[in-house]
Amino acid sequence: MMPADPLLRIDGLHISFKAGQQWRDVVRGVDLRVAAGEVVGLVGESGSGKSLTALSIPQVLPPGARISSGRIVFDGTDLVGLPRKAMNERRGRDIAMIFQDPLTALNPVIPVGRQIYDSMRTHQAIGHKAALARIEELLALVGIRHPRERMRAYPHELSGGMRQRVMTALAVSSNPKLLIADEPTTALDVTVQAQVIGMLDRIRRELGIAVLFISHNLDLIAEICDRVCVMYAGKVVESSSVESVFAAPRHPYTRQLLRCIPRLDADTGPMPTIPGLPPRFDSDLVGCPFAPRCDEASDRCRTSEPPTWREPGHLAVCWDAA
Amino acid sequence: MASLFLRRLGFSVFSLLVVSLLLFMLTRSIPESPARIVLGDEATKTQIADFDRQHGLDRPIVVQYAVWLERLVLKGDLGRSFTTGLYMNEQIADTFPVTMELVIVAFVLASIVSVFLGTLSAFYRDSLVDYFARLLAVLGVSIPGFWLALVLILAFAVERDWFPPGGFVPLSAGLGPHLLSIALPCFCLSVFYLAVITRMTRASLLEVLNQDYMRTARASGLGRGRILMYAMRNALLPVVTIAGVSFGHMFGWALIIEQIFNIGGMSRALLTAINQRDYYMVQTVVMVFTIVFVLANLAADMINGWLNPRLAAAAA
Repeated sequence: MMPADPLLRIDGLHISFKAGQQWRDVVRGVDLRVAAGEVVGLVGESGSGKSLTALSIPQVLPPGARISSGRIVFDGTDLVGLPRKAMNERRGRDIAMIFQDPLTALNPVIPVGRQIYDSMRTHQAIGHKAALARIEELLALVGIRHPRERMRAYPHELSGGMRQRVMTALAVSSNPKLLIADEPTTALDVTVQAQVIGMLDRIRRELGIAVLFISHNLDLIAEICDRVCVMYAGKVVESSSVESVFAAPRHPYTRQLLRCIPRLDADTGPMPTIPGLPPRFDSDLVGCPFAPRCDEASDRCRTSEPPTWREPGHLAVCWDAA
Repeated sequence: MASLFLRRLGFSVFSLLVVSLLLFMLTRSIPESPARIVLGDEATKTQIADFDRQHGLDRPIVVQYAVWLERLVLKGDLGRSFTTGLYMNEQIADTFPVTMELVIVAFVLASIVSVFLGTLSAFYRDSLVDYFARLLAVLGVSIPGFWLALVLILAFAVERDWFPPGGFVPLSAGLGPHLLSIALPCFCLSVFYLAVITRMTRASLLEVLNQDYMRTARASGLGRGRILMYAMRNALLPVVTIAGVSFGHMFGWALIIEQIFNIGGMSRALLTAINQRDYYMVQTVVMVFTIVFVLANLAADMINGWLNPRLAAAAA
């Protein structure tokens, strides 16, 4: 029997940037699935294309970037090439987003309650009073005390953690099916990080929202995700359940990432790092893009593109995955 | 907000005091006594001394300033010119409204058109509208107003008689003729500021549209109207500041435009005063300019305080 269609299915997504006169692919064929209610982690270094992949779903890519090919099927509809109006109806209502820096992501001159209000009234047939009551409820839900007073606050009057809570309330205000969280805790203090992650996890359980969680922090991913996709140089190189990625990673890049998680309980000497840098997006790639930094690479890796190794629920793009 | 207002108001009053003191000192430090101008070169020393005593010019300069300031603040009395003997309040009342009307009409025209054009230009970057707006902005800042005025008079008042070539028709003579008489001057006065504010609006809005919070607004699926409002509340800050400065600045430019169109506004009062060496009238005209400039900036600060709660909070 075929499994039911996932909520989000991305096939062969290419995103390119204009570099001079040429368009260069930065995201080079990403495949991704998110089932309803599932939490999928997307992990990778800066420049791996994880944020661009995320931004391409509600189509809020930065200027100069565009989806050059591929399909983003959400709830049965291909979002690529969807008319502006139809896309806009899905933004905020079906697909919501939380960004990295909650200070810059909230409008500085509009009270936070008003920002949630505007989004809600855009998508829902809800009266003024009912909307205000719902905002109060939402703010309480994300763990803001005195929500009625806080509604009138401006972003600069709130702490970083509070802002991210507000951002979450804004994102879930119209009961989206998918929440995209782009490094939601990177800009926060470690102690606040844990609180915000706990809050996010609780909210998505209560509201039954699927989450695409973008992070470079594998620890966080392990904490809240069901599945994880590892991205490198614009491609998903390994994808599996969190358990099997942590227990038996198939891609050397994943293995090296796991080795880099700092441990407090063991004296392991200097912090391990992955030597070298990811390839520049404007360089031509031959063979496996990770080969120059891979400690297990052979000649084959450097000359020809690796095949995709598959096992039920597990996928890796490497010559030696099997 | 109230705190911001009080602060700015205090600063404005302070600026006005400093400017008035400077102006007063400068006028009084002209070595030639007004008695010489009024009584002529043959006046005797006693005649001059009498004149000075009559007009209080023999008292210490600080006392003179205090008397002048007291009359101005408490009674709104600008006093009489020592040279012409005319009441300066009347002279200002005759000419100020004319200049003020020109400036207000030109300012409103410049602000509305430029904010509209600048917004279109930013939202439709690199489109035809944008190229047009950018071209207009470059032309507007590079064409001198007095030259434009002459060209427009030639084209639309001499070659075709769509507009009167000059002169000011008061409103009492009918709305139509009145508007026709101020159309060309107001247009010439507004062009430069229209260009400046268009550029400022475009640049500011382009920067705001790239901000993270605008991406949030788009990702929230807000409609065009909301998106515009979210952007404008941020983008207008520098625009309002520039507009405030422009308003005061326009007063200066209005003098030249008035001369070209032969309009009896403050330029006439000022130039007559200069020709008659009526320094007291010059001082008064400059003081009026300063008051307008300071008030325009105060208004801009208040609008910004309302647009941006952080400014108001910083002042609290």
